[in-house]
Amino acid sequence: MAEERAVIELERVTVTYQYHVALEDITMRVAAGEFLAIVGPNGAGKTTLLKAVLGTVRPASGSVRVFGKAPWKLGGERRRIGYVPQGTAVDVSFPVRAYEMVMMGRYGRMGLGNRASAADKEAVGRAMERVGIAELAEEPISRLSGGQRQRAFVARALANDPELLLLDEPTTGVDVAATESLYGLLRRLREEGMTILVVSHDIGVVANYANSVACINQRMVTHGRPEEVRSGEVLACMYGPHAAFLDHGPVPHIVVGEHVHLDEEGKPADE
Amino acid sequence: MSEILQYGFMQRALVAGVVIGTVCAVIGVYVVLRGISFIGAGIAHASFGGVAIGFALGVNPVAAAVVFCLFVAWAVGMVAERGKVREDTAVGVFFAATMALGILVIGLMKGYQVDLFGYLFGSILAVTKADLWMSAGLGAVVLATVAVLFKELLFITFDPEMAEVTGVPAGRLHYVLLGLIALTVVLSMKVVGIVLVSALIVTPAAAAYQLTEDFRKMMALAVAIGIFAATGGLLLSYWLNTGSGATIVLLATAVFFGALALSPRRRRGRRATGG
Repeated sequence: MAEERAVIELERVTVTYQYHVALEDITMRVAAGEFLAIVGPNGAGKTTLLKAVLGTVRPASGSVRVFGKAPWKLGGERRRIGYVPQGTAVDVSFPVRAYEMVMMGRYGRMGLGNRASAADKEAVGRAMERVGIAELAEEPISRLSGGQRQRAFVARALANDPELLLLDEPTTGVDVAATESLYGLLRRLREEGMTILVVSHDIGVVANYANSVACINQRMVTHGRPEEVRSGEVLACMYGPHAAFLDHGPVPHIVVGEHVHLDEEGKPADE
Repeated sequence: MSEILQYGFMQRALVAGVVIGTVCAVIGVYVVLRGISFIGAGIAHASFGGVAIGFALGVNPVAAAVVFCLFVAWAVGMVAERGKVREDTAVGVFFAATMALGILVIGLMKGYQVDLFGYLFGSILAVTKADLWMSAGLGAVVLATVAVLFKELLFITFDPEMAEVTGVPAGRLHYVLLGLIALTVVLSMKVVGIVLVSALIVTPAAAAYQLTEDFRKMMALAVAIGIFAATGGLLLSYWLNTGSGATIVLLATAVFFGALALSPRRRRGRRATGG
């Protein structure tokens, strides 16, 4: 692994916001062509980690390198990073059609005041084909299903032909079938050579598709191939130190310590 | 109908109405979709301080308002950007302070209250030839800027974070948008009035939002509604002998409720939720 070209290198990264430490002493390396899932409980700093890789958040200490450079110094090379933000970050009732939204991914490259060129249109068409929503081009985004809209966000990131794709909780509010199909799409993209980093709290699904898992809770708890990562460590990271996975009845279930409450989907409920 | 169009003041007012209806509606689309109506209202009230200072210094009150509003718009943006104060809090502070400053300045001079009443509530009789040129000139600046930055303004309104990440300077463009709001307020204030101008920015765009899910159509519809409300309101205010600003705004409000009743968005019965 170590000889492979590293796309992302984090070296003892600590990120602090005004009143708290979001990430502490994270060291991690993502090789070209890797599909890394970052899991952890709510508030563990997963989104912050993505933002540090994007360069929109700068570490208080430590170094972040993406394609060998600090991400805020990438300039035009920033386009090599495709980003799919959390679906809840935008107003989905905004009056814009899927095609136009995917085209937005290329606005930065077009330059101020310029209109879409033939190459831009071709890239957008190709990106929509790739995620399987070409026939929805004229639909307003408010009329897309959660899964279709998520694919449109992925297409917007792909429109720039990135080499690294970052996704933040891409399956929030998306049903099981659409979730499986989105991860299937990501696996295909990886087979085409894309490096993928996906943040999720859904370890069950992610482990089936990713070829490496990092569990963080401010600090790096464990990082390795899904089958190598000790499930006890991951559970402790997700649900607290008293969690245990019980597989003795018809339905496997998780037992946790007193102060953690799970919702119906088995995720720790928000406090 | 035809005889009132022969009055010079009415011709000027109607031309001003078309300009104002258009520019307010175009800017209003960004204000409504970005959810920054309160900033529009705040900048509008700040223009009162600018007008009063203009009178006090003996310079053109409109020119004074342009400078003052741009200053306030950008100051609000900067205070909010530093992250110490939320944007709507910053607007709340500046909004009251600039209005108070205007009242204080007026209190120090005597005899200008009659002029100022026209600025506060709008008056078709107040529109001079010079005002018309000013409105048209500022309107051309605003519309030309929107035409050049059309796709960028759309992007920062929809998803500023993604815009920044993909190399669109969202931070700086936010200041451009604030500046455009300030210019729109100033070019409208003589006809619609400082107190009511933010409604003419917000209401036509809010009505158009109810009727379409296409960005360009929303802008075109907002402009049609804005021109209808501004010119129709002016004619009504002449016939009914009512204040022009109030009549324009109430006509736009009537259109808004009509749009709400007809809205396909509302009939579909859902506002899609996140994810």
